[in-house]
Amino acid sequence: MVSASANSVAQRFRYNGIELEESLGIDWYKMDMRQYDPAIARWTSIDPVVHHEYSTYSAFDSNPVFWADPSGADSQVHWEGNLETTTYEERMKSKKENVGKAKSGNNPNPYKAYFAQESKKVSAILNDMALVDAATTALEAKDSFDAGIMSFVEDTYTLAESWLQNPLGTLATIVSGTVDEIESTTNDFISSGYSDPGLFMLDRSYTAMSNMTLNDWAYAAGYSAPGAASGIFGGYVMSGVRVSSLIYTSWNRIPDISGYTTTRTVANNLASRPFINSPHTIRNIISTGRGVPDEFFKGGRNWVTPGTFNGSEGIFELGMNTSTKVIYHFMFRSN
Amino acid sequence: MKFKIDHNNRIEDRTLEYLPNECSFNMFPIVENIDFELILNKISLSVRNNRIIQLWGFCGLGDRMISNYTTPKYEKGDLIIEETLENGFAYSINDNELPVFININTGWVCIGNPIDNPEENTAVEFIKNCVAIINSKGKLISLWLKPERLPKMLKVNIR
Repeated sequence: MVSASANSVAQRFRYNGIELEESLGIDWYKMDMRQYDPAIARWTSIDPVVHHEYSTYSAFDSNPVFWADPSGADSQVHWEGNLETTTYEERMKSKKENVGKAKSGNNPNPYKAYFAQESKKVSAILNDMALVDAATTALEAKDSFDAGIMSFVEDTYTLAESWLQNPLGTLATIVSGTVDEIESTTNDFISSGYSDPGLFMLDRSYTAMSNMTLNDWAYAAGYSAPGAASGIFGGYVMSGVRVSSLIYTSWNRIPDISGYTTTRTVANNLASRPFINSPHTIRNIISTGRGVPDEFFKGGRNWVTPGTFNGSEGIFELGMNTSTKVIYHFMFRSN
Repeated sequence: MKFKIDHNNRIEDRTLEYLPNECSFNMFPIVENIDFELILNKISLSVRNNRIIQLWGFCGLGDRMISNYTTPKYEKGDLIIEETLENGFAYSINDNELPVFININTGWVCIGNPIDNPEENTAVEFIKNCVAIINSKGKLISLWLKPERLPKMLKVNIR
C-alpha cells in the first residue's frame, strides 16, 4: 500500500486523486481533459462539454465539496455510494430532493455539510428550502441578490434621509400599522436615551440589518434557489452588510457640533432666533450636505434648506464654521 | 415689499459698528422686543409697530467692492413697512442677492443699487448713519450704512 506520507511520488496526487503539477511554479491539477488551478478555483481552459447554465471555466459547479470532476469534462456526484455523471436538470432535481431530506433531517449528505462549512447562518436556509427553484441559475441568483441587497440598502438610506428631515413624521409613516405599533416605537425612542429620533431609527435599522440571517437576505432579494450558489451567497451577505455600513458610517459623519457658540453679533440677537438653541435643528440642517464655503468668514460654510418654524414653512439659512463650532449667521425666512 | 418714508425729523439713536472678525454689522443698544424682521441679503431689519428701528447681520466686505459711489441727499425720519405681516417671523425684502459697494473715503457701505437715484426717489436716515432709498412705488432701492470704522484690511483705492 502506498502512503503519501512516505512516498514523494504519491505526495503529488492530491485533490480528487489527481496529480498536482508543481514544476515551474504552476501548481495546477492535471486532469484528463484540462487543468484545474486551485488558486482561483477555475479551469484554465474552456469546458469540453458545454453547459449553458455555467461559465465554461467554473469548476465543480462552484461546489467542490459536493461535486467531483476527475476528468475535467463534467461534474459528478457520489450518490448513495455510486459515482454518477448527471445532467444539470438531474443535479437540480437531486439537490431539491436532498433539501427535502435535509429538512426532514434524515439525509446527512455533503450538500448540507457544505452549507454548514460556508456559514452557520446559511444552515438556516435549509429550514425554508421549499423555495428552491431548479430553473434558477447561479447567475440569475446573483443578479437577483445584488438587486435585492441594493434595494434594501437604498430603501433604508432613503428612509434615513427622511428620518433626519422629519423624524417624528417619518416615524409614523414607517410604522404604518396600528396605533399601538406607532406608540410602541415612539416609547422605544423615548426610553432609548437618544435625543435625535432620526439617529435612533437609523441605528435601529442598521442593527436590524446586521442581525439578518442569510435567509432574511434571501427573502429580501427574492432569491429562490440558493442551493447552487451558497458560497457566493455568503459573500453577498457580507457585501450587503459592508455597503450598508459604509452608508451608515458616511451618514454618521455629520460634524460634531456639541458645544457650539455664536459670534457676538448673533449672540446679541438671540431673542429673535430661538432655534439657535436647538442642536437638533442645527444638526438636521448640516446633515443636508457639506455646505457652500463662505467667501469671507474663515472656515465658514453656508447651508440653505427648507424647513418649518412655529408652524410656518420657509427656508433655514445657517452659516457655521464646523471646525471651531461658531455660528455666524442663522435665520429662518418665512415663505 | 412696499415701504414708505415719513420725514418727521425723528431718528433712532443707535451706534452701528462693523466687526471684521465676524464679517457682521452690529448695533447697540439692542432692542429685543420687536414684532418681526425684514431681511436684506443676510442683514436683519428689526420692525416694531411697522417702523424699522435697528439692523444687524452678516455682510462680508472685500476689496472688490471698493467704489466711489456716494449717498444721495437724505433727511431724518421713519422708514415704515406698508405690509401686514405676522409677528415672530423674518421676511425677505429681495429675491436675489444685492451687490455691496464700499466707499473707503467716505466710509459708507451701499447694499443695492447706488446709481438708481432719480428725483422721484426718496431717501431717509431712519437710524443714525443708516439711510434707505425707496422709489416712487415704495420699493427699497438701496441701503446705505456707515459703521464707526471700516475694516483695516480694505486697501486704499488710488485712481
